Amino acid sequence: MIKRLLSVLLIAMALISCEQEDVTVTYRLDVKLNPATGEKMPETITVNAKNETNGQTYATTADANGAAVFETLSAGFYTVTASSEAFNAVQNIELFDDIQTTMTLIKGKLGKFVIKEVYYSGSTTPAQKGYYSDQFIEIHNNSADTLYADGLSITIHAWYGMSENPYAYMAADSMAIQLCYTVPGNGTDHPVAPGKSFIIAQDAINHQSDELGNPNSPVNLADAEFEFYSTRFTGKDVDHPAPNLIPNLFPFIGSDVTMHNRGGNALALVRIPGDVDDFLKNNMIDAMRAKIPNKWVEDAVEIMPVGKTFKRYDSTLDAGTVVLEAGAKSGLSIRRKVSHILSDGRLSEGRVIYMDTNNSSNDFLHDVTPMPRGHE
Amino acid sequence: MILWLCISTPLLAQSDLNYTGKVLQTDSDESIPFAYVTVNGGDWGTITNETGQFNLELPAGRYIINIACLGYEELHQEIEVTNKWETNTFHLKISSLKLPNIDVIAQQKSPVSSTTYISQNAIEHLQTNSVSDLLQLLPGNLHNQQAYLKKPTYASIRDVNTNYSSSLGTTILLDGMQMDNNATMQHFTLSTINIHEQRKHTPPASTGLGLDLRQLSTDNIASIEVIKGIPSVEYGGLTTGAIVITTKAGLSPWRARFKSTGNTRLASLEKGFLVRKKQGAMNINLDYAQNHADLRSPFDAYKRLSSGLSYSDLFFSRAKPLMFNARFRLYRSMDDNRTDPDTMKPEEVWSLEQKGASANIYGNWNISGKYISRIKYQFTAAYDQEQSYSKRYISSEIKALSLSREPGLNTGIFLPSEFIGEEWIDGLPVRYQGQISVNQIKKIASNGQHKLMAGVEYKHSQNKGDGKRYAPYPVDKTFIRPNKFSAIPAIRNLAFYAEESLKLPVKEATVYLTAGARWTNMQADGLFKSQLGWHLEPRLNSAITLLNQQHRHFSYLNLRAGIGQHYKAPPLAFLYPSPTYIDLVSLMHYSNNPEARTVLFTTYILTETPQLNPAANLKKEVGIDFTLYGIHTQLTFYKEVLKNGFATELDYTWLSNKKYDTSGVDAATKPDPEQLPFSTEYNLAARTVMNNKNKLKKTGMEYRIDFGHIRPIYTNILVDGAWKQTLNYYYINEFTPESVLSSQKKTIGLYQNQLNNTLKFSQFSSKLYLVTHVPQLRWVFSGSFQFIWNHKKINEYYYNQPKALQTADATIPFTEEMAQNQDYNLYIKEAKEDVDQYPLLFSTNLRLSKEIGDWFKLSVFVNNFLNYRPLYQNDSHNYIRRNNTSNFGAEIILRL
Repeated sequence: MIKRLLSVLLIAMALISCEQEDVTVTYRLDVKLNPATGEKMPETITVNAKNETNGQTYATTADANGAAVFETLSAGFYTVTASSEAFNAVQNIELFDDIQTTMTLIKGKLGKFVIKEVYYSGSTTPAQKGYYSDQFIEIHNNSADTLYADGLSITIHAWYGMSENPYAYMAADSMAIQLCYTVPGNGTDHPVAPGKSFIIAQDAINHQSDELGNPNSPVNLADAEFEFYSTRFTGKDVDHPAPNLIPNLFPFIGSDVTMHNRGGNALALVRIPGDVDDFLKNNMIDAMRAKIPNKWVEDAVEIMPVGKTFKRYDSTLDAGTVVLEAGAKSGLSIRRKVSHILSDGRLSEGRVIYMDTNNSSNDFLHDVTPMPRGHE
Repeated sequence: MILWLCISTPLLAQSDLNYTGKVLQTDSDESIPFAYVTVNGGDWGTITNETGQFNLELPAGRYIINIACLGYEELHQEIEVTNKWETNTFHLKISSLKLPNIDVIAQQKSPVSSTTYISQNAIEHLQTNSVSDLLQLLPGNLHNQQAYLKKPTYASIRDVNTNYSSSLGTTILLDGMQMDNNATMQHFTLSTINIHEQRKHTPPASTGLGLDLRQLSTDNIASIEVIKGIPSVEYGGLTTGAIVITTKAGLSPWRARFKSTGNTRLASLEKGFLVRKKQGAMNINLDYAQNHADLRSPFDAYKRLSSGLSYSDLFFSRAKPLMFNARFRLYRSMDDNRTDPDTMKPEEVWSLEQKGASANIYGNWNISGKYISRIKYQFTAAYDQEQSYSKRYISSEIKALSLSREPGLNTGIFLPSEFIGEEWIDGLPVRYQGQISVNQIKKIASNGQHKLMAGVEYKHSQNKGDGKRYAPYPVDKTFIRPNKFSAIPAIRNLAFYAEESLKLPVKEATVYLTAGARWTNMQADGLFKSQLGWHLEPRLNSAITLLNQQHRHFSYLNLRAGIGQHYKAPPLAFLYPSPTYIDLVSLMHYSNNPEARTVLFTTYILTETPQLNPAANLKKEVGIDFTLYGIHTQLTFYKEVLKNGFATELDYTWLSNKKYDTSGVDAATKPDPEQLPFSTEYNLAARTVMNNKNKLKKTGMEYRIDFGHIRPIYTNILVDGAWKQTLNYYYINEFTPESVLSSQKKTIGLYQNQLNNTLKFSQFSSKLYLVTHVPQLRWVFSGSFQFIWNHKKINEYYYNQPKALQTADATIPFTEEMAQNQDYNLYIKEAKEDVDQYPLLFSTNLRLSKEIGDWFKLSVFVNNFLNYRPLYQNDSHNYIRRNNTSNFGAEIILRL
């Protein structure tokens, strides 16, 4: 009896020790950081490796040459981020062996929510007139965490980019805006899972099939999460079932929030701490425009009118520009390039990570057919 | 009447003498039938009979006789009426460039009031498209640099910038018939009325701006007088001045005119003939013009067709001649703007079609009675048919719309994102007018005269049109609903007037004095009741002329002064504006299920508008005319103050609205308002209303220096121009700033008619005319060199803060603390001044007329000959080109 008991124990112990042996299979990750183009290596760089499977984060610091080592990381999918005061880098790693990776720091910040697609050009009706109700903005959770859209504000820069930006004097630390609409909610009402996105439509209907819509429209926005709704002219804007964004600051651009159809609106996603209305009221530049610090910007896209190069954002927000060459009424959009797709079997369709180097010249495709919630 | 007898009794002793004359052609001694004979500028008048003879009964004395017949040079001659019985012979010369003296620039003739006279020679030499071209001959008015008809044009007298109040206050008389458009309502809303620019994508409209002058062709005009100063009390319904047009009547050879410029074609034909012997003369004319805004596109065009038929006859020719004129006028004009089909875009149209007919019967009866010398009469009936039309593709987004014509809760519709919207405004202004005046004319001493006039005038204007309508939905003015113009009351003005004109010789001087008053019942309800009240317009003109034949160098001096009050009743569109419909969304439920889609509106109909009074203009002027070393100089200083001018203002109203909460309703089911919770909210509605608050001051100095004829070079030299200033005062009553922050709650700022801004224009300009006329070569060449020495625009805004703020349920006074509080800074109107000062600008217009034989005349013109177009950067940093591009044209006139 004792013999049997001991053997069971032994087997169990062996099993346990075996399991322990398996779990402790680790790999070494060597990270080599290159300084941003034309910049010196920053003094202190924190490097984090986040295990996307179990959510555990490991931290270390890089040495003066930019080398950082994680000696023992268990196998899995990792998001490696490097950040100093002014520079950042991000990379996704599949760690199933010892890996040496090189990351180049970029000046600027890395968003969690990113602007994935902007369709502002509008479409043409059967009579060749413009139709702009089908405009939309798609916002993507590019991180590994569930994020909450509540309180996220969409802003449009005060200047159309047709000539030199008169607000250039403040661009290094702030941006001038002419529009601010905020996602409603108490903080946890609108969760967005990693790799998921939400759509803000001008009008949340199926533009193609609605009898009052436009059969030539490239999009169906009936399932958009939010819509812009304006009460400026009674009856001019129709309120569809989708929840409306909260208007905080709205320009005099007609009866709805219509984006400039030739690309005059540079967009940004901002998180304003505290009461948005109060903040804007106390930070008006003049009767129509407000000022927002760059540090609150989560993502910014410098959309430019065709043929123009008058930048508005500081390069820490967006080092480049994106232009829709086909212009107004073309039915085409701008969309972020896919960096890679994570597929660990748990996410049935794979988690899309979009390219986010803070340079829209590099990060965006342009003149593409709009694909709400889609990618190449 | 008693006054009449009192004044006339001492003068009864005089008795009239018979004066007989015969009018002959200079070369052939052929008699000229149907020549118009007038004495002392129309105090007496008659027509010659088929043998060229005429009879007049005149008191003994000296007179100026004026004999005119189409195709002949007008004759002015002094006559003396004595008791000798004899036939006086007058010779008329055939009008041609062979004659030594020809007026091709405007004249200032009257010694008393400032009136510009434009003869037929001047009209022909100018090569005009419409009456508006002629106004460039007024001193201080600038060159009309473009032969253009595509844009509505308005009368401009003593203005720097064409002015709303000025053009409306100018009356245009065609043979005494008022050509007003007071009953025109071809506008969609009051806020779209704009004198300076035609809004893009709207049909043209001239509501409330006075008559569109491009409607009037110049081809059958015999002469024009523009009264800039104080007009006789005979002329009413004006605040600025009068354009008095005399058309051609009587016999005339066939005359044809063809004109062509880059974008304009014009043709006209006329003929005057005797109906039968002793049965009067008929004059017919027909003219056509077309103009394209852009030569490359035939789809943006203005076309005008007009024709006239006049019949003139003389009754009782031996003793008490009665002149009878009847004139019928037909016209049609089309201002059409549509999409060029070649652009492969769907057709869109913005057009205004006007057509009309008028009959005018007028004349004088020289009864030469004891108390009454002459009766002047005029009866007019006219109707116009006006249709504004627009057709547009409406697209871009889905909207909700109420079509209710009743107030209260109603079900609206969702508009498709694209549809063809058509809108019409059908206007049918009808007017009739009658005027009778009696005159008593007596001689005083050998050269003096007394003339007493008294008259009565009634005018009635109404619009019998069907008004505004649309199909299938209103295009963009959703606050409009169909309303019939025929339901709107008529404009009814009854006026009495009396005037005494004295001419008294005092030694070597002559004193002129004209004093009169006009008493108008505006919006008369019967003879004694009135809606806009009785308004008295006293007017006085005086002058003293010193003739000094002995003094060689200083031969003429004339001093004149005048003062007068003038009233202009508001036009129909201002007096009875269409009601404003405000539709507030009470329930909106848009669903993918079309059956469940619901929109409910609460509709308000706002009809209340401020009570309007007639605009009132007090005009004053003094002048001095003198001839020194053969140089004739005329200077006029004027000051006008217009009060109660018409202007638009924003009017705000709080309207309550039941807002139904549909958040609990399933998207696919139709909501029932009875079952839904609701909250009451207040909306602010803004609309444009007409007020009476504009004030306009005009001051200036007009000059005209005639250097006379320089014989060796066959050239006349003349300089005219003006320094003038207009000052417009605008007031603010209510204002709600457009806030961009949703955290700012709307309130109405009550400013209670504080002065908001003054818009001041000033300009000093000169025109140098060089007119070379070589009778032997039968040609006239004129160069008009215009200098705008200085042009200034100052828009001064004053600091204003509201007296109070009005919320939906309370009015709170605006305190000093609020003025300092940043939350209210949009209500504070800061003082600022915008100044645009333009430097010297020069332009040259050249014209040449040449006769070949007696039947052919060729004329050419070049506007802005040097194509001088300097760039100017204005106060708002925009670059503008001053002067138009150089343009030219030619015309031929055939006489058979």
